[in-house]
Formats: sequence, structure tokens, C-alpha cells
Amino acid sequence: MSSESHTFRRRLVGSIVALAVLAGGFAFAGVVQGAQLESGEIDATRATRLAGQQLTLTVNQPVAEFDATGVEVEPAASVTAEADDRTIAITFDEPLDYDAEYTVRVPGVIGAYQGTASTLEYRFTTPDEPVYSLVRRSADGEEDAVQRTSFADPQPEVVFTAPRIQEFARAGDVLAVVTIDAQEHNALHLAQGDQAEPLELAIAPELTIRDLAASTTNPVLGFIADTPAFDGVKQYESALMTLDVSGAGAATPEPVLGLDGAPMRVIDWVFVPGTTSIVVQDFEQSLFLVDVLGARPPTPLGVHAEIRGFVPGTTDLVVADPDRGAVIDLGDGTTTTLELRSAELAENVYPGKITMLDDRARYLISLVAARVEGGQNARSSILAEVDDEGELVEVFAPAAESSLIRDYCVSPNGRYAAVATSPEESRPDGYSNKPGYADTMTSIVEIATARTVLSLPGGFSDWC
Amino acid sequence: MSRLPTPSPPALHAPHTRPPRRRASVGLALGLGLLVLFAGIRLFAPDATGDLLSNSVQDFFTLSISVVIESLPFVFLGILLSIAVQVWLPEGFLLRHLPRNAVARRVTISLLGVLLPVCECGNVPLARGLILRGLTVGESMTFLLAAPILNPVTIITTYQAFGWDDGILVARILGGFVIANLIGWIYSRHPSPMSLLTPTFQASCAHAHDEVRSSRTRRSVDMFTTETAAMLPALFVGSAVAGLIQVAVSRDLLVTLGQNPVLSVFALMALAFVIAICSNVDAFFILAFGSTFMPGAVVAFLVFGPMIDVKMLALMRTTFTARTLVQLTIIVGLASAALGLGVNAVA
Repeated sequence: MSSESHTFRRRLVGSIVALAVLAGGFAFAGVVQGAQLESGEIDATRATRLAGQQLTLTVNQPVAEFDATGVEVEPAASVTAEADDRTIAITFDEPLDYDAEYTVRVPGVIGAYQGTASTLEYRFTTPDEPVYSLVRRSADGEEDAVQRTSFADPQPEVVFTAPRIQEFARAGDVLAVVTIDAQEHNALHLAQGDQAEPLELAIAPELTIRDLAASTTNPVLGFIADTPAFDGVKQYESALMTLDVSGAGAATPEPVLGLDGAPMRVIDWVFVPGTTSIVVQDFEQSLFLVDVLGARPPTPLGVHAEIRGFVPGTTDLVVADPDRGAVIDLGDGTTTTLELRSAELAENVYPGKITMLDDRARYLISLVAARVEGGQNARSSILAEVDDEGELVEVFAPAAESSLIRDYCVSPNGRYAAVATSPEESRPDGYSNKPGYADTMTSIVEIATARTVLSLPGGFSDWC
Repeated sequence: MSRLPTPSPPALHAPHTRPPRRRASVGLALGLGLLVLFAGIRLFAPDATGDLLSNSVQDFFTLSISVVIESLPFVFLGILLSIAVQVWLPEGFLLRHLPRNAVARRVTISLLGVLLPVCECGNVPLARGLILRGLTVGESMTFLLAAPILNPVTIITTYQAFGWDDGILVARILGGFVIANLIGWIYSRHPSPMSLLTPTFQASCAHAHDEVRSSRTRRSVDMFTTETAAMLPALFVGSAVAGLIQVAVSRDLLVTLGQNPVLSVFALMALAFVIAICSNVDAFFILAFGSTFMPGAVVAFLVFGPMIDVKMLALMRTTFTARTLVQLTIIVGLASAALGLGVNAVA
């Protein structure tokens, strides 16, 4: 055999052996290595608004077993985890914090093909949340303004001004503002994003608007409308109107129809978080679940004295009657009577507005203490959390003792409260619809830590 | 001084054979007749005729014809480029401009695909042309294996499909380059390179340098006829085999295997071998399978497929001996597997 032939044979066989060894080595390394995370997916915006949102982790092979109870989340959040084929679904039991970097660790993951246990780690950041307030300055001869600030950028900025603003609501990046003109007529303006010129929506002449609100998860607005009587006939009387603001063009408000096909007459209403449904209360105090898109006929929910909103991030509707409170789970239609532990209060302390923080027992309550100081009546107020043992923990007290808590609302994720305060001696601001107080300030308080994270002028937070 | 176009010398033919012009006319008439027949069937047969065939037979035709349709433009482009290199490029132009050092020469040849962007189906005629123009057999293999991957169209489509994710693009480019040069390096020391070629192709090589007394146009047309006659049957057979295997082997099985870090590599190499898809579009094909496959398996698919698949083997068989193709398949297969497994182990 020639030397050329030798060299060729050596190169050929040598290459084949070397490649086989290399492939075998890598294959061994691949088998010994544990399962690996391929990708993770979560709708982080939705996860800050709703409970029960899922982080889906895709593993590079079917998951044989993993430590479902050992899943760690930083910052702490309670989760449940389950695996199906190549995915591990981590469900967050409560809505997540705003503008936070979360790290999720799943230990003990054993793949179907690789026997070594490994820990999967996934990080994601939740979006910043803008917080809006309404500053009423018309009494001082200035224009009213809607201001915006956010957790990441706490500097308030004016986003809308008008001589007199009655109320506003925010659906995604659409800001809806109800103004009042000199003739006490309402107008509805829509501003999208940082649009310079807000759009004034064409509404029926002399239409009166109240109770404007927006869905926290869908681009839909709603308000109650009244029209004056022409020839003894009112076109709208306490009619709930909804408005789809998803499109770029001008939308038309549509009335919500009752079982009889006529516009419903509504006392109170509220959007169901995460859906296109609303709960309305008619003049007979009957509650109905209504689909804005008209996909289903209204579903009766019983007769209750008052709608108290939803447990944050859930479809658990809180209702109140003179003798008791109840939680209606709109997911399965079950009603549970609320048995709230009352905190022990001193004789001179009076309870105010209550907001449920979960579907069992935790709630926020505003308290006012009355006392006599130097021969004069003096009042002070605090916001407190009551836990399932009836234990009362102070969440917020106005910085100045002479200031009072005028109102408060809980954020859609249930982690913060927007507390409106004003000096005790401050005057009502003179608005007949949604009256407030002059010199109101709003503080954004983290409920768990009782820490004030943001302060901005004005009241009527968009969480209300 | 240019020569007038001369008809093929009749002296080469035995007296009892038909004159070539007449044979060509018969062939042309036959071809046109078939075309008219097929067009007639297409136009006049009721739409439901296809339903007479079972699903598997329909799938077989759809899959086979899709491979043919996808490859055909590139086969013709390859033949035209091959003719351009052989007939229109000045004698020795290519060889004169290549580096003399063997390694540098192979590296340059492996990058020729950047200038001659042809899918792997078109590379076979081009590689044949390059051998006839004086490239060694080993060098032509380097070109044949590297060009489908190291060409702008493939690189752009792979980037479009995967971006920089998991290093798939980089692994494909480097893998293709290294494997092609490895093959060139191994075969550069073959004692008798001509024995790697089929006897028929050896014969055409032997005649390649004979003085051909005809115009370039005439030679181009002749060469087009020869190459088409060699390539198209191979393409049809290869495509039919690809279609047949796809019908016979369940894709679900391949997808199930695709989730195993080790088996996935081999499963996707098998898939690449079977579906015989062009390198310009294979990235989009495998992307369509979503996240089912591990990145190493995708790399192995994207490196092995353009180099070796049923259609390519059928096309290459026109030029190389079966023994050579077996060696080539083993080396490319092992190297692609090592690359894929390596990516899976590291990623």
C-alpha cells in the first residue's frame, strides 16, 4: 500500500473515530445534565391586575417530576405549580406588585430523559403603574387638572386641564374626562397616550354623565347617563352606557339593555376584573351580571342593598345588606356570608368605609376618633387593616394631625391604597356631582408595610 | 478567428442509428405531446378525479412534487452557473485565482458559495463543472458541502428565522465550514481521486480537455442537455424517495423523539435526510415546528440536511461512487451529530 493510501486511510478512520468519540462525549454530557429551561412566558401587565395569572415555563423535555411545594418566588408571592408534559405552570394566587423584578425558582426538576435533578430559574419584571389624581382648582380661578405620576417616576405631570372637571377614568392608555361647562352641561373627552389634542365625544345634547369608570383589564368605559325630558319623555334615565375605546376612531356609547330589551335603569354598577362583564344594580336593588358585548343575556345575582366592589384581582363580588355582608363568586355563582371580626375600638372611635382585601376576613377600614381638646371638638383619622383574628394594624395616618382621611381606594392588585386627605377645616369644593374638598392630597400607601410610597396633589384616584 | 457553428459530426454515429437531428425532433415531439396530454388531463378531468387516489398516494405525490418544484429552479441555476464556469470562464481562470497553499485553497473554495448562491440541488452540476475545470475531487467536495450553507441566501433566511437565538446561526455557519474543510482535508490525500468518481463521469472528465471544435453557444446547449439529462432523473428519483419515506414514517414519531436531548439530534438528522428540503428555506421549515426541538437538534438539522439527504445522494450518485458517498455520509453524519449534541450540552 502506498504512503498516500496510508495517509488517506489514517485520516479517514482517525476522523471517524475522533468524531464518534466527540459525539459520544457530548451525548453523555447531555444525558448527565439535568432538564433545562427553554423559555418562560407571562402576561406581566395582567399579572399585576388579576389573581390566578400563570407563568408558563417550557422545559426542554417532558417533566417527570418536580418539587411543587418548594417553588420560591422573590419578592415573596404565594403560588401553586403543576407540570404538564414539557411545561410547568406557576399560578400566582394574588396579583403581583408594580414595577418589581420577580425571580421564580423551581427546584427538583427531573426530565423524562435526563435523570439528574435541576433547579429552573426565571426572572421577569412587572410594568410600572401610572397613578392619576384630579386636582380641583376652579375655586381659585385656575383650571382643574388631571395629574399622573408612577411608581418608577414619582414626579407628577399634568395630562389634562379644563376649566372644571367632574371626574375621570383610565382604560389602558386612554384617559376619559368628564368636564362641566358654564351652563352645567357635561362633555366627555378622550385622550389617548400622549396625544396633544383630546377628542371630544359627540353625546346627546344636555346629557348628564355620572359614575364614570373604566375596566382595569379591557379597553371599555362605562357611565350612567340622564337626558332631560322632551315632551315629557326622557331618552335616557339612569341608563348605563358603555363605550369601547379600543379603536382609533370615535366610538359611540351604547346603553346596556335589560331583559326587556330597554335600557336598564341603574343605581350602581362595577366592572368585573379581567372580563368584559359588569355587575349592575337596578332601582329594585336587583343585581345582574351583564356582558358588555351582549354575548349573553343578563344573569340575575339576587337582591342586595349595596355593591361594595370586588376582592382585588378576583371575580369575587362583595355585597352588603343591612344585616350582613356576602361574597358572590361570579366564577361559580356561590355566595358566602362574610363573617368579619370587628376590631375592638375605643368608645370615641367611629368606623368608616370598609374594603375587603381577600374573600375571607382581611379588610381595610377608615376610623375617625373624636375628642374634646381645649373645649373644642377635634377629630383625627387613620386607615387600618383588620386581619382574620380581628387584630387591627395602622396602615396610614395623615402627617398633620389636623388632616382627615376623606376617602381611600385600593389598587387593582390589592397591594396599595390611595388615601385622599385634606385639612379638617378645608371647604367642600362646590361640585354637586362627586363633591370633594379643597386642598386635597393623595398618598399612595403600601398596605403590607404601611409605607407611603408616593404623594400627589388632588384626590379621586383612578383606583376609585 | 471564430468558427461557424457546426452540427455534431455524423461520423461518430454508426450508419444504422438515426441522425441526431431527427432523434432530437422525435424527443421534442414526444415531450410536447406529453405536455399537451398532462395539460389536457388537468383542464378536462373533473376536479374529483384526485379523490380516487388514497390519502397516502395523494400525500406521496404532493410531497414528492413539492421537493421537485422547490429544487428545480436551483438545479437549472446550478446548471447555468456550471456552464458559465466551464464554457464562458477563460481556461484556467478559476485555478489561477485560487491560493496555492492547500488549506488556504480549500478555505477559499468553501467560501465560493458566497459568490455563487445556489441551493444544494444546484451545487452538484456546478461541482461537476468545477472538477471538469481542474479542481481536485476533494476540493470539489469541499465546495459541494460548504456552498449550500455558506451562501448569502441561506445565511439571511437562517438569521430571519432564528436571529442570534441559542447560537443556531453561528453553529450552522461554523459547522458547515469546518465539516466541508475536514472532508476536503481527508480526501486531499486520496491515492487515486478519480476512482472516487463514477465511471461515466470519469469518462467525461477524460474528454473534458479534448479540443472541442464547436462554438461556445453550441457547447453550452450541449452541456445543458447533458447535465439536464443527468440531473433531472436523479432529482425525480430522489424526490420520489423523499416523498415515499415521509408517507411511510410517521412525523409524530420524529416529533416525539425530538424532545430527547440526545435522540432529538438524531431524529432531526433523520428528518433532514428524509424531507430533503432546500437549504434556503429549511430554517423556516424547522422554525414552524416551534419550540418542540432542542437547539442542538435544530443545528444538526440545518447542517446535515444541506449536505446529505436522499435527493442529494441521488444527485451526487451521478458523480461519486457509492463507496465514496457512504464514507461521506458517515463523516458528515458524525460531525453533525457531534455539533448538535455539543450545542445541546453547552446551551
